[in-house]
Amino acid sequence: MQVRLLYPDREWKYTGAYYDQESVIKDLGLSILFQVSSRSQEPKKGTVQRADEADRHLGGMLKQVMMVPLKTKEEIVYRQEILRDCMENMEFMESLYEIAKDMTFRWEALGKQQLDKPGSREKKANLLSRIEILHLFVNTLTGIKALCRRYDTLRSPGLTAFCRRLEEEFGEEQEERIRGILSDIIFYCDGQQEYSLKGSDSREESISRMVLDCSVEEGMKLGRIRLEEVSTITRKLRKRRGEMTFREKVMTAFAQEPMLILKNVDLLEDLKQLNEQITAYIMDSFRPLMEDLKSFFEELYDQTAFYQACCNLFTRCRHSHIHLCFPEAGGREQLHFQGLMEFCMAVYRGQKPVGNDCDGDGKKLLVVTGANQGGKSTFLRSIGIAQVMMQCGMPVCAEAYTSGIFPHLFTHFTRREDSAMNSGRLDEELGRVDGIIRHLGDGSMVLLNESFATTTEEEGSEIADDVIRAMVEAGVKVLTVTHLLAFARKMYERHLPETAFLTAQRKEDGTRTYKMIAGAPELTSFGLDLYEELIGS
Amino acid sequence: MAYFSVLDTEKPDTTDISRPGFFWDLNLNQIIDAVQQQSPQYDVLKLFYRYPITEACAEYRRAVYQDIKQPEIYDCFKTFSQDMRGAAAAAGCRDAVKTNLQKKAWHVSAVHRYCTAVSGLQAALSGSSCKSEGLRKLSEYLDNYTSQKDFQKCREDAGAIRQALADFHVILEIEDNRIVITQGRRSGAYAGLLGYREGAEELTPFLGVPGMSPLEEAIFEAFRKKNPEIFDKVEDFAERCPSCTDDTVLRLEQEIQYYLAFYCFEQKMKEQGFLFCTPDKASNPDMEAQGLYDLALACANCTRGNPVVTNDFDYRQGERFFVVGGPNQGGKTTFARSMGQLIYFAGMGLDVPAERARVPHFTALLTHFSAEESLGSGKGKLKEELTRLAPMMKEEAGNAFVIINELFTTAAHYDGCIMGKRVLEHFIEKGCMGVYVTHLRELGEGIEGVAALTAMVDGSRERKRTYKISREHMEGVGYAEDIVKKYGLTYQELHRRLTEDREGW
Repeated sequence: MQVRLLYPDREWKYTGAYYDQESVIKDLGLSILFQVSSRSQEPKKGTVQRADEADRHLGGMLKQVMMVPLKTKEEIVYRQEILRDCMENMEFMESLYEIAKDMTFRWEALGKQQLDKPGSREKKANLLSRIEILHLFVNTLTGIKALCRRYDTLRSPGLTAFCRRLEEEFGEEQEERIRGILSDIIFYCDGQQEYSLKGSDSREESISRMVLDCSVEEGMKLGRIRLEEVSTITRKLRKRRGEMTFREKVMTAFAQEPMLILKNVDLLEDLKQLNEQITAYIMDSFRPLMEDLKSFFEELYDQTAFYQACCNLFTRCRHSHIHLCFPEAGGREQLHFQGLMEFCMAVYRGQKPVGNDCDGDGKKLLVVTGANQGGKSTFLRSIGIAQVMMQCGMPVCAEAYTSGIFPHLFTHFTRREDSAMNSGRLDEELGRVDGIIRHLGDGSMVLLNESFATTTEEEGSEIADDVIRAMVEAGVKVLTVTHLLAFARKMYERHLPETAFLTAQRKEDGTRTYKMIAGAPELTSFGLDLYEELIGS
Repeated sequence: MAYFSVLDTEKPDTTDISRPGFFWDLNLNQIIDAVQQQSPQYDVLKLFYRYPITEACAEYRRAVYQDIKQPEIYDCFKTFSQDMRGAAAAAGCRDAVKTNLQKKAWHVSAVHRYCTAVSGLQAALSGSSCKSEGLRKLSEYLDNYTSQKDFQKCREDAGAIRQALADFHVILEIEDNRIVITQGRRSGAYAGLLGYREGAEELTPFLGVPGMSPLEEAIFEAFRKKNPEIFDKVEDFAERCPSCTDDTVLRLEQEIQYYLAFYCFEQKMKEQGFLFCTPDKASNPDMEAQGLYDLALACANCTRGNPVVTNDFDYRQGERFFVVGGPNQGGKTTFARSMGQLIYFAGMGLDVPAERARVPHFTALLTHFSAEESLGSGKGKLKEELTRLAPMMKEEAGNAFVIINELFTTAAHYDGCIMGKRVLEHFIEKGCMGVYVTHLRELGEGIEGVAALTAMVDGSRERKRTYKISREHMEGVGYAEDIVKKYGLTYQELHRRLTEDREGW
């Protein structure tokens, strides 16, 4: 049975992540999303409010899923629709994740127990925990089915198919059969006193009743056993006596068929072993089912974690009045948006930052120049974040966002503290660029922020020109924020139709709006404004 | 009854058999180890240590081996071996268990399996098309043996009891510690619920050990009280038929492995592309082979996938000895070894690692390889070599094949030539044949009955070894190399220039 909440046709697999994903996370500042999504953003009703402990699994899964881009529009829409269902039925996903999580914890407890048991008891403990785990599996499935039945408002193909599959592949009949067999072997569990379901002071005991067909093999050995009947009978607790009672003696002596009443310790031990082997044989028949359910529950825990993490982010946005929209995956030549905000910053601060509009359809290269402190990096980051979120099916922080799908997304951000001139640094920087070049593929987008700043402007401009031109010619979409004005001017003077130039808007009086507008790169970004502000003209 | 064996025409002296001296020199131990692996349950090694055998015996074996190579005959012996092992296993259980009833029950099985194995082989052979004297005699022997009344009675009785036991199922009705035992059949209704697939692992908690557990014992005891018939039959059989194994048959099981293991080995090597042939008869000093290769090297190489070089040779009119010269690591020793292997396997009546071969029968195979790891001084080594050589030269073997590898390497050149010549003349005079590997080129010339062979190198500048042994004389190579290097015309240099410099064009 498959979960298939992340992909319409397969289960989750953490492969095919972005190249150098740690840089992507760091450059785009995504960690804040993993942190926020790990905590419930709403106090639970009816409980005393306390600082909820972070559920690292949520953030961890969000991180993994975000870092593995989807490759088609269909896959993106599949997740978007499930997320829409989540937004409208927030409790459903919460309950589903809770069930999966709770079950995983209990399961781990049972699994651990079988490992911790030393030596000879191991096999027995193993068998018992397998029985208990199967009980747990069956009960959990029943719980999930009941949950699904309560929510008939689900509309997404992903969730409705999930519910349908449960009913189909784990139907009433199947459930009855498993529960029936589990209750037939209760005698085995009760036989292990510490596991007795009724407690040691019970006045009842569970005993086995079995009818076996045994072949006789060479050397007078009992061979293959066929199970004709296996069940558990509950009866009043009887005292066992070491010797046969008078009644038992009479019974065995006058029985029509040969009859044994076992009193001897060795024989009882043998019988106990036989019981155990039969129980193990019965449990072994569930092996394929348990394997299947094992991966089902593992997948369920992981896949619902992604959606639950998203729900936590949605809640946070609702509280902060941050608007989200589902982006549209278009062609690779498309890139236009309205009111795009830097999502991570919005989540972190709990308030709306400046929104940007842009129409970059048909452009292969976007060059952003302009004054320091003008919001260039923020702008570039907001596109990167939106792109990553769109490519994992999440909504983005904008009024509208349309872009192509770029499974190969690279970020190359030179942070201020890195930009000291130093040949070792340049070496390292170009090494990273080399890494990017080697991993370029079909559908690549590269975000360059203040790259090649580890050398003089002149040299840096030349390198940038070579690298960026080569990339663009190879069909890579490049978005670059640069202070290399020589490079920017050179590009501008080429008048290439597939290049767009943006600059940080500055009003007549010199105040910044933090908005990006189309504009030719200026020759200065030396921070004249800043100079004037601090020193005066 | 007369002595019968599939290996020998008459009863051999098998006391004091140890590994022949040449095994190590010819790397035969590696080959025979690989053969032994094909029949791990038997001791095949010691059968291969028995060398030499008489010419008649070798022919007798060769004929048997030709029959064994037919798949249906091979299969019937393979089945026979398996069945016999089953019988031995049952007999082992009989000896291991403690309760009397069980001992007798295992005895029934052992006898039943043994009889089945023997009758199976008898039936298969009498209907087969075997031509060899050995297998025809075996077939007669078995016809006679299996038609004896004792054998037939044993077989029938054991079979009947075995069948009765197989037909009989015990039904256990267990409730807590009370067990009611009946006889009959149940369909296994509950097992059907479990959804096991057909052929899934079965529930056999009592199998795996030959003895009865206390519970089994108690169950059978209780059951016997009311249903004694089948148990009485088992006990009765053991008394009437205590044992019916035949020594010749038991020996046959061991001896036939000689052929089965080698055949299995040969098949595996053939799958890897190595050829085998049955050698044709010839008489001393007439001998030749085509496509001869070192089987030990082939064994090692087939796991690595390396090819093995083959060689041809023939002793022409009047020639008795080859003197093989040529560069080091040129395949001289390998060639000498492959010749030794050829003589050995032909002399054992088996197939040989070659495409085609004509080999006479030799009464002895003498080898002398230098002990490579000798740490002694030069003088000490020479002494050691001569000490080993002396008994070989004294051997009263007029019809031996002699392999000498790099004798007198530490002696002075002049001395080496003289001594080598004497050794060669000695063996040729005695009528032996052989091969002498040496770095002394002079030895190949001027002795009657000696042909000089050379390990060849190819025409390249690196003088790459081809590992081919030929009658051609080695051309003088070596002076041109320096000139080639000076002008940078070696292969590596040209390659570098043509690929790296091209970018600058």
